[in-house]
Amino acid sequence: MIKPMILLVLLACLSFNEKNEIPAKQVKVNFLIYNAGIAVEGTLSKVEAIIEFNPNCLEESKIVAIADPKSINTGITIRDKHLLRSDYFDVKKFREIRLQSKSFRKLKKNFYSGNFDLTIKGTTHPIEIVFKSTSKGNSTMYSGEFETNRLDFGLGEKSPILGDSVKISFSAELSVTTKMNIKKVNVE
Amino acid sequence: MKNKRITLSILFLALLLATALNFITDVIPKTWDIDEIKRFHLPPPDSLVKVEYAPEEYYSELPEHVIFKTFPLYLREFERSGYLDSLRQLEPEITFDLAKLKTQEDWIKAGELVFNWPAAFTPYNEKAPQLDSSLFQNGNGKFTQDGIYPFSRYVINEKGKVLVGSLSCASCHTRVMESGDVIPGAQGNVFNTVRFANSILSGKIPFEIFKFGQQQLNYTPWAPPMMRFVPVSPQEYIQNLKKLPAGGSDRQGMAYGYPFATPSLIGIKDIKYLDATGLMKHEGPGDLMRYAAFNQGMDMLTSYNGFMPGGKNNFSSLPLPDEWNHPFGYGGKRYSDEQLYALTQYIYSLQPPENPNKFPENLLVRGERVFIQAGCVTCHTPPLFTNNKLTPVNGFEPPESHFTKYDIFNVSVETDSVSALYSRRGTGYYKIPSLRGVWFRSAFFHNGNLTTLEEVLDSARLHDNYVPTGFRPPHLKTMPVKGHTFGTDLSEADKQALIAFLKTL
Repeated sequence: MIKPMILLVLLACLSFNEKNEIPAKQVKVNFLIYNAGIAVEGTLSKVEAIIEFNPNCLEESKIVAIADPKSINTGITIRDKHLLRSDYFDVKKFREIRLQSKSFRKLKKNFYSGNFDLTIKGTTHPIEIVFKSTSKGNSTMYSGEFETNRLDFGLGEKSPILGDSVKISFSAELSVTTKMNIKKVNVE
Repeated sequence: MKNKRITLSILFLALLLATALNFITDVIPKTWDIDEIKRFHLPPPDSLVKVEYAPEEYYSELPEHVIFKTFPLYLREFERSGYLDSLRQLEPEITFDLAKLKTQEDWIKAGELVFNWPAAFTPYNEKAPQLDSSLFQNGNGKFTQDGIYPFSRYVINEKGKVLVGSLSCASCHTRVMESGDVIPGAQGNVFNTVRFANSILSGKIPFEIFKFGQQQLNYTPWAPPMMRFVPVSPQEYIQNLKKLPAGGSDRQGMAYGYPFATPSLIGIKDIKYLDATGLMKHEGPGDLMRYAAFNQGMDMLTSYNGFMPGGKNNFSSLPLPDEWNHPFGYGGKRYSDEQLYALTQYIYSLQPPENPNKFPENLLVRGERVFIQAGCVTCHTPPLFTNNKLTPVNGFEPPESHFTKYDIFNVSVETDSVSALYSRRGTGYYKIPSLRGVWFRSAFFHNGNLTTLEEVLDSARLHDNYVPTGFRPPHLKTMPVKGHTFGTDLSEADKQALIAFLKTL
């Protein structure tokens, strides 16, 4: 009974040798932080993701997302400029925010939990992210959210009004077009 | 037995009181302490500039101010007949008497005397034109309901002679409201330039001498050569003065044509940096004492790359007390440490006036929400309505060492940077001002270019064709007032709500 199962997984993994690089416009990253008790929302508009996710072969799956901190937008220009400086993202020294998967597990239908390394401003912390993967026709949507503490990454300092916790939500869509453009690479 | 107990109790209380008084005397900081001055004085934005202070020995040898009783100066129409003659009959009375300072209340009252004590004096001249209400037309300053002009006071330091004293702390930090009420410590509005302007125009003050004084006041060794520091003509200077809004001040250490909005001193105990450029740290009474000492004369005897504005021998060396040549007419004197300490206690005790502004509750709730959403709250954080930090200006990148020494909010709000870069008060920063008491201010932004909160939030000010209501160099017909764009894109309703909220602070 076990052998056919192993064979099935093996076959699924063998067919999983494609690397999907999702164009930035299809990846959306929003964040929310409380300032003086009121939510401030913002976006990172320049994000690229490489998604090699196969629900049937989680141990071989990989997700890497890279965001350009310079693309941050909170609706207030001077505030955005401040976020790029040394006390926040320090973009002169650190040009990217990186999220890299380490492992995945299935929670329930369409829901997965991934262990990731989140690197901001040269500091890496492990983080668990629950996300949803739904397919419709030829497209697959990945979406989820997680919270992190900005102080863990040296983003600003402790503040009497600005919250420490930042809620980040994301979505990425793999469309037909995307799949047509995928590169064939060997997954190691 | 009972009598013995009472005697012991009295002795104990006396001992306690004596200890407390000794404690006050012991805690009075030393004003002119070079190590402390180096700690509290921020460096110029150009790190190559060498700043040297007058030595402690020089300072300690300066004669101290003797503070006499002063008397109100009335506008001519309000002065009762025989008032000046009655002053001439008085014996000089020394009012700041250290021996009489027993309680904190005594120190505060003594500080008020220092606050009002003029630093410059001229003999009363019967023949000179007197102050009258005609000089106060067209917004030229204000006077109280009973006709007092709080900018200056009469001084009797010798029986039979009346001096007109000016340039006290009160001269710039006293506000006369529309009602005629006086608010000590507020952004001042009593400066009256008409007579001074006439003296320059008439040649009574020769223009060459006046220009020399302007050089002393404004020259900044590290400013680019294209920057001017003296007016080309008396007329140009007068036009500059006329453009100065109520609440603006033109004083030593500024760049020519870049006056400063006078700060309010009310609530300054909690403010960590002094001057619009955050020139001096404020960590306690000692720092405020040093600030006062600098601003009442000693900054003119500080050397910047060898240029000592009040120095003799072509600005190169310290003058003797009787050789002081301060353009404002200060004498070669200093305040005693006790006088300055008392001054700090008075300033720290100042309270805001009762706020007459009343707005509907729902408008204020909305205004507070806008205050947060528009990002005001980040820098103008309650309860002080400032985060007590310095913002670097365009053209200045804080050196790494500043981040551990100073409180830096590391982004420019993109306002005009000349005062922060090219004046002797420049540090490369502007401090984030407190918004407490904005309802009784009339000069906004560091150069006093704007006069109302409505104007601050008006996006029209960002454009080249704008005519600011505050200070504008006379050669410019229009002038954008750029930077600090927060709130300029709000809806009119949100602006109204925000302004209402701000006027309650």
